[in-house]
Amino acid sequence: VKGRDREVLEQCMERMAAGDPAFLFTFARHFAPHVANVVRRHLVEMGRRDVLADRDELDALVIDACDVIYGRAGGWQSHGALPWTWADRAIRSEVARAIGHRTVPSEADDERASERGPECSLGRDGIDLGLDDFGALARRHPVVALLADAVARAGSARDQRVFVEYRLQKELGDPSPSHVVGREFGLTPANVRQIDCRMRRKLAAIIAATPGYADLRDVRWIAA
Amino acid sequence: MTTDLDCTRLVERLAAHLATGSMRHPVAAAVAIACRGNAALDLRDFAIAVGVDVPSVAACEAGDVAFGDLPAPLVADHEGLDLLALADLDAFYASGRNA
Repeated sequence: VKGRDREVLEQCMERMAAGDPAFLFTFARHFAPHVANVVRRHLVEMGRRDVLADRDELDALVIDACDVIYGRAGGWQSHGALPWTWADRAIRSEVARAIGHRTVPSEADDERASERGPECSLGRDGIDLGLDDFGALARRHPVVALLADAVARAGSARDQRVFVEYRLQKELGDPSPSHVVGREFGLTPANVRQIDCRMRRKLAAIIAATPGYADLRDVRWIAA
Repeated sequence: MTTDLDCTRLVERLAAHLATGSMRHPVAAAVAIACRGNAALDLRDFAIAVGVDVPSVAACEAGDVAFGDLPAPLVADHEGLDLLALADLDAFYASGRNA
């Protein structure tokens, strides 16, 4: 998104943050194709290709996703990721809420699972949790990789995922991260906050006891 | 980049939201808001652009003006909106109010 489109985007986000609903229409008219791509990707990942073929339902989900961005516009920063990338997790959560999670695994999923192995964790060798941003950062930045390594020692695979998702949502300015993450994992917001608290306590203890993690002692995720 | 997303549905969605309050003409308000969104202007600049005074535009967006009384210049750019379908929706809401 460059040039005049970028100007329109920043104007939309600024006006939506101020609560002007007219710019939800401006945003939808100009940027819905980008939002639709995000929605389609989540539908595919959720195994709901049937919804992709239903234009009405797809339109409704794209409108929902635009509304998600509208509701969170105040947290967006123009120097950061594009809004539909920034709000990716919240959009996914909304899509899941609207259509429900697929409960019957497909053959393709079974194949992928057998290639990946039986367990997902945040260790350096198994960082693919669908937490693409965190995983990509860990591959590029040694400190993030070290954090991933420490997180992998701090709790169950589910708790690791909840913790990372919750922390990412908070960093992205989501005003209600525990609700977004809770919907995705089928947990109450209070559960999510408890898991976060528990994980931070364990991480702090692990980091304090492990000289190799000294670089993590000032990481905001642990102290927050 | 523009889209063929059905913005009439977005108007319907906004009207439904506005109707949960005590707004008298939620569909008309949503249409007025959508038309300003088409112009990508804030309220004051939009009022100047369409030649309607600011309080009148504000009244339309506040749901104080009936669908049929919306100033023509205000809804001139209704691209992407199915005004006939929205007029039907307005009649539906009106029948609910009068019931």
